[in-house]
Amino acid sequence: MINKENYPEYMLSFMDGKLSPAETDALLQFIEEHPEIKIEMEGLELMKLEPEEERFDKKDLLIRRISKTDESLYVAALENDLGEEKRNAFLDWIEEDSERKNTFFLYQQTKLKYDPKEVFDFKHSLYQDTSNTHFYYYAAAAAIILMLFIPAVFLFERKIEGTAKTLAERNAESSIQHSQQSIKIVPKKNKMNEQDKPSSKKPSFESKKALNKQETSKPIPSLENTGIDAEAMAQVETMTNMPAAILETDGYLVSVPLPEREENPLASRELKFPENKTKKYNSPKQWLLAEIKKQANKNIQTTDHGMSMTGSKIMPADLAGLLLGGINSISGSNIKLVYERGQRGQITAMGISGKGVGVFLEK
Amino acid sequence: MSPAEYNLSVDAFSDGLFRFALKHVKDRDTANDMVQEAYTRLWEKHAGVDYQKVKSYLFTTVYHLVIDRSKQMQRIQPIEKSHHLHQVKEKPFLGLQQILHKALDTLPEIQKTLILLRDYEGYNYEEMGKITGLSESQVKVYIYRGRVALKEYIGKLEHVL
Repeated sequence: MINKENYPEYMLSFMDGKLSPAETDALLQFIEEHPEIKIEMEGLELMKLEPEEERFDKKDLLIRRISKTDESLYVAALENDLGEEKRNAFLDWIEEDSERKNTFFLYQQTKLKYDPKEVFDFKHSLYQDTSNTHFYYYAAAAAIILMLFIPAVFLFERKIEGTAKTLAERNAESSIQHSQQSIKIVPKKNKMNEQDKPSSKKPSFESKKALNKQETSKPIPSLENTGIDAEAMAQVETMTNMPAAILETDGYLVSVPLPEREENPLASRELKFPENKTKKYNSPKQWLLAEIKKQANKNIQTTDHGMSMTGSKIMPADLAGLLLGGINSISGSNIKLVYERGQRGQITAMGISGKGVGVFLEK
Repeated sequence: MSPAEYNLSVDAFSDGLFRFALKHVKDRDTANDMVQEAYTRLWEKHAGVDYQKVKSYLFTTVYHLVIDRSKQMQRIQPIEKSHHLHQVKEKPFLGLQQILHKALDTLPEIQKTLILLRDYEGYNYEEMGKITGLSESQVKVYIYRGRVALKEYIGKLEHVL
């Protein structure tokens, strides 16, 4: 059925001589009913009279009689849709009239050219290393994180175990009131002031929630030589509404214990275990680790300051969050990951899992 | 497709993909994200993708990302929406290509896509049909309408010269 929407298609096919007799008749009928299109198809009466057996011989004549208002012919010529014979006839035809030439010239100008200076600047982030070098970077980084934090988490959990009830109660009372002034941060051992140095039997971290009144009244230890940004730690507290405590200051990761899993309004992304992944991965944990590994392979970089990241994908902090929170704690079908990117010397990312938050801190 | 071929495809097609995306979304960061997303999806399936079909795969992915974003931005135009043509007034400071690219923005999304694929990447009707999910005939018609619209936008010959 020829209508105003599809008639150009038929016109083009007609120019190519591809219409069946029935379609040709339909096209002619349609044009009869639409005078405005008839104007566009000036010279159509020749087609009506054209005996089928003579169609080939008349093609040249037909093209020459096409009205200069027939845009489809110009477009067909522009797009190289005409055969050589028709194209030559067309070129001869436009040579006869300067207006036709100008019209075709205008059509030729509609060909777009791209700016060769417009290039994709991040090719390096797309390359896959065929020698798996990045994978080994990742594996090494993960191993370092594990070595640093498994003992720390173990010690931390022992510390928290006895005070969990108190922590929960205190947290309920003073959720948003955790201020920077009340943060208890224990800096790196070898750079601590003597007055702040814990006994050798204590772990190198303390939770603010675990502090008794006497401890909280102590002055805030200097962070000058710890490599830890006080503002960043305060930011952690503000963002998580949880007390912050440093587990390890030698690296770039800071943990923030969460007494219990709860909904975090800051969660900016939720990764759900896709149903279609269940065949490939046995558990959400396997899938999630594969996803993180994939992102880390592409985006993780080592610098003088440790690891850094590029792009906007989930990053090592997510991994840190999982590790600190305990990979085994992943259950159910989803886990929430929160990250924020900041400036140098501040929090660059944060991963949150069921039991902990991993903060990636770039000095 | 091997990882080495994947890397080759980065060199060969990422610039074109970026330009294609940028022409649609007008935002470099978003265009960058789309290219990265396309290659991420490609890498996930690279083992099952024939290198000969990589370019088509990538452009199809970016095309769908562009369409999805248009829907999100609620700026998508009905596919048959008539052109809102504006004759170019005399702007001697604009080069022809600048005028053309401005004219391109007046076209419906589908016409814009097809003309970009045609002129930037040299795709034929069949290939463009596969990328956009249209028949060859439909592609022809949209190209035709797009060309006519661009030519009308350019207007009188003296505006070009």
